[in-house]
Amino acid sequence: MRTAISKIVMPLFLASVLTACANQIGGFTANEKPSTPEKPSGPGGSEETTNNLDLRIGDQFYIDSAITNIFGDDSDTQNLIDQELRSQTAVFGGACDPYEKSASRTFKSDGTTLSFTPSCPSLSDTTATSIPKNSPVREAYRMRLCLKLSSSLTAVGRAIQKAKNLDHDITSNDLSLISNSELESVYELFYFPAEPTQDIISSLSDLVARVEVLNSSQPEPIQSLESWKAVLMTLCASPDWQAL
Amino acid sequence: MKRRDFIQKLLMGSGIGMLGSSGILEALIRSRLLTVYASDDSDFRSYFSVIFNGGVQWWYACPMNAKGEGIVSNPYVSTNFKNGQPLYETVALSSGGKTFHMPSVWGMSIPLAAGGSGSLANLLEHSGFMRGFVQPVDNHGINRLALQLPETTARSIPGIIADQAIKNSSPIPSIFGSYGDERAFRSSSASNLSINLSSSNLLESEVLKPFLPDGEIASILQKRDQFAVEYSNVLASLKQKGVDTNERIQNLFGTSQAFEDLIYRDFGDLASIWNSLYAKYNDLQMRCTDMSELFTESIPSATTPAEYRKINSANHQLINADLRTIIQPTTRLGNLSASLALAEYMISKGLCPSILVALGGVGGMRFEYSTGTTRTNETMIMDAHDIGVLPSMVGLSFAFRSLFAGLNELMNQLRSSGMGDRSIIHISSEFSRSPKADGSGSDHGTKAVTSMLLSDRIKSPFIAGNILRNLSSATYPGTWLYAAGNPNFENGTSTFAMGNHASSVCSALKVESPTPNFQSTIFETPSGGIQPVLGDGDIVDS
Repeated sequence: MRTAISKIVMPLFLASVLTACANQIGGFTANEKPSTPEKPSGPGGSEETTNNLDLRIGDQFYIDSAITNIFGDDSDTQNLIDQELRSQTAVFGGACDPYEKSASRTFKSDGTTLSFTPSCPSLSDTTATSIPKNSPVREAYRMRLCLKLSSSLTAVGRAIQKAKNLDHDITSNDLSLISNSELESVYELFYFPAEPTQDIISSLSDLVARVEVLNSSQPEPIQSLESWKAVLMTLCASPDWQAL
Repeated sequence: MKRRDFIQKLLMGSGIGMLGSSGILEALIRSRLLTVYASDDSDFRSYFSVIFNGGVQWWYACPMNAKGEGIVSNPYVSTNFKNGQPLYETVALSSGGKTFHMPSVWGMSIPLAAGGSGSLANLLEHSGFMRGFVQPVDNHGINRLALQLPETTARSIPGIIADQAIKNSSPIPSIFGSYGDERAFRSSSASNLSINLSSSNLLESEVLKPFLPDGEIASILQKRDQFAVEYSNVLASLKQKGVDTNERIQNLFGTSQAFEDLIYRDFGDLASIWNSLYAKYNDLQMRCTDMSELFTESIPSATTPAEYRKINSANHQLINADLRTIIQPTTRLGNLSASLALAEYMISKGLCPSILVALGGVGGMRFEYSTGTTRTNETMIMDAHDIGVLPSMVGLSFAFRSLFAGLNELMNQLRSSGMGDRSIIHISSEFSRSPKADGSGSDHGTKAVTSMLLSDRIKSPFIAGNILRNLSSATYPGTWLYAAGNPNFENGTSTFAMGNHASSVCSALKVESPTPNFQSTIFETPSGGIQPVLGDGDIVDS
């Protein structure tokens, strides 16, 4: 049983600043053009081979566990996971028990999850594969989850708390320029026990630097928070942490 | 903001400091806007499986008989409608150098989407019928499963196709639409998407929803695009480390990139596309409701209740009118329009190669009956147990006419997208029906399972499987597709099993069978046509 975590504290000023920034799409300016990214590849002319027949990846329970461990079990976070992951058993694999009751969740007074009973809404969910393979539709749901979590203040707050190994809810005082050791820590949230290469840290540092430039007109807590969001979004979006 | 509006704004370089994204998205859109996700595997075939829930009574009355032997009529029919009875006439159709005695509906016209009408019989050229399969148990749900999953520990037919789809990076490996028996999906590794066919704007609300970054997702992607280069570089470094550990990791990134391509794809105005497709197939159904062609002769006048067509064996409510009028202008075959619209879009675009739908019943049939001096018009519940063979014939003739009108249009669309001979359409039901001797209805004909394949891959029509000429049963006499032995097949004179059925369908799909110990009843010739292993089936005496 996880230790109870009190509700995340997000100073009012920080929340209000974030709200004010919401309509500025991160406060970017027209002069800050990124370069064109690599030409995408995919079906219908892909340069990548997408035959992943023998590569084992996790089912819904594995993904659920990993995501919850990183982003926490606060009610709104768990609702996102319900919405994009647990409701798609047939897509992610991992058969559920048809004799379970309908999905239900009880919360502690602080908003964290006390218990969750997943649903098994479709008969096909009882026969979902235990050896799932990746597909664009699975990626779609996984990416939707990652994108939503990395824009959720609650979920991002929990991930920062975890990466910084804080024993208290984060406050604006905890937000500062992301150090390389923190980048290593957040990498290890997804890839434990692997350690990042220097290239990974370097590219993550470049990402952080870019986001800070994009948000240079914002107050410091916003700059750092946006950097954390970008790092978490990118690491979460990478598909390889699903590999077993 | 709608996704297309979002993209348009970006392409115009308008709005809120987003000019930087224009180049990225423009490149993406230019490269992907018109992409059709067709597999590179030229022998990979799409599978559209249509299941009639409830068993199809229609088949028993007029078994397909390639060789023209006489069939034995149900005695109720031969007694009460012996002279001039039109309903049980077969229509002789010639195709591929053979004559087929088909159910009367095959003699009807079908409406064309382009306007006017054509002959339903034209579909025969690309049709193959497999009959005389035996279901081991008698249960609606289990028997529907057995059509796709004849061995519970093996993969199912849609599952096998979905596993192939994974290799080809099809965006959605498999779709089950309002089937209720999704347990029939079993693959080694793939997934399926269960959708509700009765949803409005199905493409946007259900099928493509995960690929449509509306609302919050679109906003987040806008932000992400501002650091697209750095984002890509991180992914590249992660990929490199992953590949150094396990080279197959790169495949995960390939699939992930396929998703990225899809979320930037302009699917167009999906609501309009869906409405147009749905309306097209719904209009075809509506134009099938005029059933005047079904009888070419006048309705025989009835003077006693026995001569009327029974509606319900319990109360013998009668139709005192032209039977054909039970098909009303609003009568529809459940889920048909949505199913066909879904198949056309998803298969022709290469978005999903395995679609299974259940059609449900015929809704909106109404009949007139008398209660004393009052005449009432009420909705008709089409339970073939009690409905009576003749009203059932009318209802199912409408159902099949509507289905074939829609499939004719679907075939045309698949051809125009180059998928005509790369798609197999499979029409089946959990069993056939055994007609009651008194004509009041029918029971489950579990030893008479029939299914039909429709594809340009079939170059000449065929019938596989022997049936009995006369089931000498007091309750269910006559010729109604009851399985007969097939000498020279597998172990001698065995009747076909559901394993043979699965192997046959998979043979047409050119994938491995989930029941490899059961021989296929059909095979593909070197020139690409599909033919029965034993030649066309017979109607045999014992």
